Amino acid sequence: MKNTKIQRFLIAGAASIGLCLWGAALSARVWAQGVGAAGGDGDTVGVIDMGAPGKQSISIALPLPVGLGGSQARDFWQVIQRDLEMTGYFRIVPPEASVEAPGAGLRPGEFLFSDWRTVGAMVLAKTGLVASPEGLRAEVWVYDVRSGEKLGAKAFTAPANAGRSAAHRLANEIMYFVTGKRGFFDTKVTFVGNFTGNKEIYVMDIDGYGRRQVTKNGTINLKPRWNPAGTAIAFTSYAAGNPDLYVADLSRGQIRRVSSRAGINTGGAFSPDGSLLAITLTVSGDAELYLLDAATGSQLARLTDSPGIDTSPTWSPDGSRIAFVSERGGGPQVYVMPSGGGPASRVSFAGSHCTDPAWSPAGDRIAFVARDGRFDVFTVGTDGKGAERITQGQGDNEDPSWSPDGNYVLFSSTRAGGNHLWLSSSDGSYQLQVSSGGGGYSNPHWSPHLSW
Amino acid sequence: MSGLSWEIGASALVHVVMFTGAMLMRWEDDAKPLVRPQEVIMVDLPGPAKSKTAIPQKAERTVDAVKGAPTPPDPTPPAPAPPKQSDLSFETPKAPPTPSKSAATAQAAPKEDAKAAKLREEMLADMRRRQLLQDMEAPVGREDRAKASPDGTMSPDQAGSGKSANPSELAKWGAEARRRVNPNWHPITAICQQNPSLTAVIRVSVDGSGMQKEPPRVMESSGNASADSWAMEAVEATKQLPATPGTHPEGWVVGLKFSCKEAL
Repeated sequence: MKNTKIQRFLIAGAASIGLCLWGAALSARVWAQGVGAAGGDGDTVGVIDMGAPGKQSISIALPLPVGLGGSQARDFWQVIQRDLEMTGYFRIVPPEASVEAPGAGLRPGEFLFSDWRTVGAMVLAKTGLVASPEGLRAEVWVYDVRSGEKLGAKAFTAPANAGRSAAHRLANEIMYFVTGKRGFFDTKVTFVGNFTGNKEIYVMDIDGYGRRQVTKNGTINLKPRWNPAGTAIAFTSYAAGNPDLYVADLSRGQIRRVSSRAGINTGGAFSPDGSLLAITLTVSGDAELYLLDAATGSQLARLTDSPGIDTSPTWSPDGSRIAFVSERGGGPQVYVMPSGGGPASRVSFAGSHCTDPAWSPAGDRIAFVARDGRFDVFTVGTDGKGAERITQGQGDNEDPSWSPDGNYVLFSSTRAGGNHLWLSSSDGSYQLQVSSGGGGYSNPHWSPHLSW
Repeated sequence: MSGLSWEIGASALVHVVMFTGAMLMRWEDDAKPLVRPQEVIMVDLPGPAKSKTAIPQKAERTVDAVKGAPTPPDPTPPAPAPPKQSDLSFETPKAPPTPSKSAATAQAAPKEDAKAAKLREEMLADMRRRQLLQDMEAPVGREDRAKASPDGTMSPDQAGSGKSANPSELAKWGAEARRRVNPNWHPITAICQQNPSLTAVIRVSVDGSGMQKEPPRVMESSGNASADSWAMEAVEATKQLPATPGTHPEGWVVGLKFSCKEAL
């Protein structure tokens, strides 16, 4: 009996040991599976922080608009495509690459994201354009193709003859949904165009299309400058035989003479609040800077009093300072002084001949032109430090003007033959011809964001 | 049957005890991270200056200052942010008590022994709390703490035991890898703005010449399919990574960390 008991105990003990071993084996197997799931990453020798990404380049699918067909839809699409390409941010997946079935819609569930993954699109911008009693109804839906998530959607109406404007607005929305930054497609450029044998003032969309003539006086018109609201342009004209300062009110279609003092009245630049005009006058016999009331043209202050020419004023965004060109040190150089006048400090040291200053919207840099054999565009800190070259070895490049966000600079260049307008990223790494045709573009000035 | 009852009871008890022990062993192991940080030499390289070729990513315009107020030509760096407070409140860590005379003689007395054990437990708890607090205050843990070191490289002590890779060699390799890979990394900024903390680590295995020996894969997911894809595609599009140093002719396996915040 005792032996039987001992045997039973031994059997039970053996069974328990077996169970224990089974449990341990199970435990070990599960643990091993856990390591396997992680892929054996314990062999990694380190983790490297990759820092900032390179130049942003988003592949975006931009199918033709749903709704209206024919040339109207194609034109609408081309405006958006051109806008997005101008930024340098986007690579457009051509509509021809699409494998999407005809009749696919704009909204989630009305198309397949897999159709766009296969063509390598990161972002899908679906647009719609339909004619309505109010004019055109435009719609845009922007998606992250990988996740299928909507980045944003918007719809708006526009008059039937405002298709370009609607397309620009829509491109702005796409830009914002993808980058979180406002596009510049609702801006325009004013410039001097020599297309008729005379130098006249023009305005056109920033993409180089939609050109409209502002002056038609058959003389010489120079140096157009937007007011901060984008509703008026100051310029110098020989319409009355003398280089006088005029302001074209674009909303009323009127041009009025603001300053016709003896000698030169040129380089009118609106203050950031639009109430003042900094201008070069030669009433004293020497070219000096003055402040005028923008509404009445009355003289408020004389800003400079130095030998040689003082000209080409440009305001700091906060209105506290003015950069200008002066010959007080010998050759023309860019200087900065308080906007009420006073001691000036030189900021350009890139050559013996520096002109055309333009203060950046962020207030931290000044673009200017320096001659180093040819004319090239540079930027420099407002303290004269950190000069950077925007152009080099590509013809003459002059008259820089900043985009409203300060990320781009527009200038005239002879690099493609004739005088054309070119856009550059503010570091010069990306440049694009804006104007087309045979040339004759000069003195560009980039508008603020516009609502018209 | 009654004769069997104690044997069965004893056997069942042994089973329960042994099985519970086995399960506890398993759970304890499962609770540990699958990729143990101490097995990896964490190297955090200082971020490069913005690429000259990059589309400028200047800050959005802010409202101009009040008219008349001069714009500082050379803005001074912002003052360092105050130390981040934890959402959880902890007791102020007490200074480790110095061994007292009574503590030194406590071994003989069971009561004093218990006191010493309690004291040791409190000290350990304090250490754990302090470490936890430190981890919580560092946004991305040990990587960010490594940035505080002069060369952005984690010391062997900080890194744990780990594999044998010279931190300076790894840093040099990483700088070159960044130069080659980053031009292919194209995050969608709007998504990063919504969630700057998205971070993906891609595992890359290269031979001595820098050729990828096997397809890269996600080592630590960001939790966002798109952010993982941008990182994967950046590595996949980089045909040739730098050659590994002469001390590693066979190549090595590294993690490349892509953080959305860097795209902003």
